[in-house]
Amino acid sequence: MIKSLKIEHFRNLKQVEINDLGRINILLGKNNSGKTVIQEALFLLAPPTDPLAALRILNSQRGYDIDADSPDFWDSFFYNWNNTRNIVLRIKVAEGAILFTKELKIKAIQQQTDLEIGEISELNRQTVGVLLTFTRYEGDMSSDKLPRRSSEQSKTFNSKRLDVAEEFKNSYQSNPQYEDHCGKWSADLLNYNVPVAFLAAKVITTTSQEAQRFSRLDIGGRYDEILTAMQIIEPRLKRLTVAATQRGSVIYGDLGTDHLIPISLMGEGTTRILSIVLAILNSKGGIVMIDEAESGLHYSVLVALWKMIAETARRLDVQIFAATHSYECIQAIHEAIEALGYTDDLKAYRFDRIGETTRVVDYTAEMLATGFEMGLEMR
Amino acid sequence: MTKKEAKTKPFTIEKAKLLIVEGKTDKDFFDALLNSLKRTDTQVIPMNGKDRLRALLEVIVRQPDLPVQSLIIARDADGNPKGAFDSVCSALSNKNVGLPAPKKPLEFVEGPTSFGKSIKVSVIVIPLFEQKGALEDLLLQMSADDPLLSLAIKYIENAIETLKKAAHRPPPRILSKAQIHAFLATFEEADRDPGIAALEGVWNFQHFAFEPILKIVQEM
Repeated sequence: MIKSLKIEHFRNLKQVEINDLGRINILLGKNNSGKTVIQEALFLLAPPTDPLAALRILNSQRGYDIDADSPDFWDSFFYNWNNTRNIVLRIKVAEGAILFTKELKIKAIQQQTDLEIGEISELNRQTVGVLLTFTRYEGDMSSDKLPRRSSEQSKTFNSKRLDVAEEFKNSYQSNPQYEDHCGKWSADLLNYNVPVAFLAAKVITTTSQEAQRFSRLDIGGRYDEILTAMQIIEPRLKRLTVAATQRGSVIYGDLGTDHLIPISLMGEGTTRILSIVLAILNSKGGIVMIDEAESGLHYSVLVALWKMIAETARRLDVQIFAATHSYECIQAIHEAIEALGYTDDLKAYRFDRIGETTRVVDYTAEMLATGFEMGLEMR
Repeated sequence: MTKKEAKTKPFTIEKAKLLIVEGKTDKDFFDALLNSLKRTDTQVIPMNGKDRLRALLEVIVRQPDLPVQSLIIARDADGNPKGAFDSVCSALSNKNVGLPAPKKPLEFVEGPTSFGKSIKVSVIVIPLFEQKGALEDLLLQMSADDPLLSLAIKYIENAIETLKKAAHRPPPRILSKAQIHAFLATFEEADRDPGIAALEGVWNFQHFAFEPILKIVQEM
């Protein structure tokens, strides 16, 4: 489980450190305060299988579908578009008694080109890619005693994979696994290669992708878990099934009518809950991030939904990071977790921008309870 | 939705001066005091039980855009004036609150906060000057010149004597509360509690017994 997160010069966050993360973490704050950026950092840190794809996904989820051969693609990840300072993302992870720190440094790679404007020729430096360095340290980076660096790998990524310049060093590992420039990273680094699901607010997963996730669980004998969770929002639902169509697989639901209905036609809330359910059930031992957790959901289902999420997260050892603007959503999460007696699992963090800095305000379940009792603002 | 009604519009502390008091009666009383001073820059909120102070402060200092620059916490001394003061100071200096705590009641201390602003903090232990008791004891002092109060006090004394002899039921647990309620029963609207009475102008905030509180509130 991730115990802490540190971010430097990433997106709109100059420097942020979050400590004592829980199993269920609610991310709060005004618009553009950095809630989504926290989730993006975690998305990049967890599985270093194809960071270029991860970077593409993050910009795409933001609606910033720009090609990787544009300097802006790379610069958009740097704080204030300023690529002279490296991005540093760091998590402290506890796996049983083992504590280690994983760090990702992102350095901009610039190329000098001649830019001709009329008769004037200017030297122009533009970002053509990034150097990514993953490092694993054994122990706690925040303790006085320096932890032992156990492995490190750097790779360069740009838009033209064939031209990728690679740096590969692993002086701490005798026999690193290494395939190609976007392939496997060292086995040691992959020790924290956990399943990660990022349910962005805007992007709707395709029905085919959801059908694949559904089938994976169904084949694994976990159909009942999906059905029970889906009945929270649609009590009439009797059965779920995947059907092959000319344009891919589709999940259908049986509402007791003559004809099965595609889940995606049952409404935004049903689709959203299906995405959440499939993400959590497929992320055993990993992390699930839910942006705008209240999105598409009627308040009356929130407590039941969050009871299911909290119970499943504990059972499957999943860590949840849910961003929300909704007071009633926070209240429902708290009520669900309190009803289950899991209050130690719950933490909330609000990100307050004060000039260039970001203040992290943390809430325990007890503080949230007091806030709700008094009706005080906490978002 | 649930057993707890969703509050979609939570309230915020939006004034620069904040007075935290024990309960609704105290809130009404201090609201009346501020009205009499024509002060609109101060917000009064109840802690709803003195054991809740630390928890309340933990949430207040975490409020987004908290504007508070001056804070007074007022609570009853009950049977232990020093213990009451120490308890408030302990809540103030708790690691999850991090507010400056004064060395003694009715004094301001100024210091930094976790929410980025400096704050002035003071504590009022009622009824003042290390006396045991509560708000009603202070109200007895503030109304000492009213002949009706003497009659009310006498009535309660007689009632207690009668109860002791006849042993019908236990006498009032807190004498000052019984005396103040008997006193308030002599007014035209006989069912007022001390807080509502304050809002209706029954208490004389200029009375010398109230002067230390008046002074510290004016200094906020």
